[in-house]
Amino acid sequence: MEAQESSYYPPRARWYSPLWYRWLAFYHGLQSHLPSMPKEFALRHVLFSMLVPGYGFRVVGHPLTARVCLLAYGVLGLVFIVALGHGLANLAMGLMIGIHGSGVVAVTRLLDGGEGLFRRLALSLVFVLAMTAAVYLPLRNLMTQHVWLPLQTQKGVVVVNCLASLAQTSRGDMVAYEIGGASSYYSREHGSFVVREGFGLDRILAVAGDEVRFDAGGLWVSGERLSRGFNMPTQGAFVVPPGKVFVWPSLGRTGNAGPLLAAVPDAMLKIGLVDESRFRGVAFGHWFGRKQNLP
Amino acid sequence: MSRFSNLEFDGQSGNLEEVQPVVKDESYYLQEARQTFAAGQFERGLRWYSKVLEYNPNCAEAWTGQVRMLIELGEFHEAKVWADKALERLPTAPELLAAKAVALARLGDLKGALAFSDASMEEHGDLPYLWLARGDVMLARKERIADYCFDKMWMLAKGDWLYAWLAARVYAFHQMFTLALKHAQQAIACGPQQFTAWLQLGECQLAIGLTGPAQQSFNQVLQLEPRCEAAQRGLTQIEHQGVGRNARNWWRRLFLS
Repeated sequence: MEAQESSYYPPRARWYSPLWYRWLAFYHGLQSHLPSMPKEFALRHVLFSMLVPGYGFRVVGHPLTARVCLLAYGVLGLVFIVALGHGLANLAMGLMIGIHGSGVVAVTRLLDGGEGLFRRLALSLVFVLAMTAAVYLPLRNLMTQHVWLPLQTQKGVVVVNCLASLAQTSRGDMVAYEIGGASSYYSREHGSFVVREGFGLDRILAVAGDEVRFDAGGLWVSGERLSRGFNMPTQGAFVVPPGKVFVWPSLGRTGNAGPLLAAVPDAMLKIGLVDESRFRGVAFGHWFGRKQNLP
Repeated sequence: MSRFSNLEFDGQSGNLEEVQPVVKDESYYLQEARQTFAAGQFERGLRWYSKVLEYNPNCAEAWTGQVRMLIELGEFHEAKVWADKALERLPTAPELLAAKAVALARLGDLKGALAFSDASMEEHGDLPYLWLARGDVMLARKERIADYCFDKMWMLAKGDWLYAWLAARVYAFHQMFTLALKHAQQAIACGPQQFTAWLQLGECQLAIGLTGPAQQSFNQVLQLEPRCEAAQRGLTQIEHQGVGRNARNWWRRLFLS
């Protein structure tokens, strides 16, 4: 037989074809389980309306509404980011979810010819709740844990850049760090006190390799005099180990420490040596043109 | 003049008939394609049908044959694509419509498969392949009427072993090995010299766990076709059968057959 293929020889399967067959079987199986849809309807409309906010309005014949919804969604997304940490951001996120859900509600109208209001409302509520739990909340948590972390301080919200690394910091940077876990409980011979879990936001006083020395007037960092902080020790010295930075935690106090007051500096020293595992980021000086009120 | 031209055989004398040269035209390649299909050589069948189409691009049997070869080779998406191309030329060819129905059914598009099967029936409802394809679609849809379709196919096939063999292959694809076994036995009854029928029988027996009969069937295949690699693989598989496979065969016999 001739080696050269005839023009009537069909195209053959590729190496990825088995994966394609599995997707097609899943796609057709999914389509067969959905409620019966009008001829002009397609599964892709349902999928797109779930992915693209406002697309559902375009499917039901309101393209202008779809565009307005998409634009509003974008604006609200921007508001959410700019107002991160404030109540306005939560409101914006709620409205974004609402717009997204409205698009899907519009599409469900096609499924049963506009009847079955209760069924459509129930379906839409389920979708909105599922979307919130499965998409919006995880995305928000992902953003606040790994990109921008808003921290509530006494002077307002401060947004922290989580993408910065400890190695990139220097003296004077305002850094956020975790407090809590195993370092939360301190005890002395005649009692104990607890440091509540949370985040600290303080300036770096010394970086790895700096020599820190305390005296009655304050502290010395590699020969440079710095002012005394609240509850700082009056004596002692150490070198900041590699991979750590030194901050002096600005913690509030509830209750009367009494004889335990002497133990507080030790606890603060432990908390103040921040390593990579507790480091969360560096505070922005400005956030979208707004100067942040750093402590 | 040949020196053998005046030889006498049993009182007859005269010139020997001259050997006719083989004319490789459309009908030659079509015949070759049918034979390779019946021999289970689907790749070669695909190429022979391509040659047929070079002579006659409107040959419905060749287009249908190619689609069926692709289906037998497991390339369902390509079969659908090629069926669409063929239907552009021959939109009302009933066997082509039926072949596309099978391709769609194998891809999971059961609604489309039924639609094309219905269309093929509307064009011409008396061809055995149409009923074979419909039975395939009904099995994919898990409808009991599939049995009726295969019965109707058998009625129209008039004892042709090929259709019994194809029915066995369809049932085997859908993992219904006991019914596949029944049709394979029917194929052997109608065509005992066809090694592909014996091969199908052996594979069904092996799938159910009847290793003894399967071994006999594969040996029978090798008697008819000593170069059959599938039969040799089957015998090797039986020799190396482990505990796991035995357990699986027992499970199949008990619950799935």
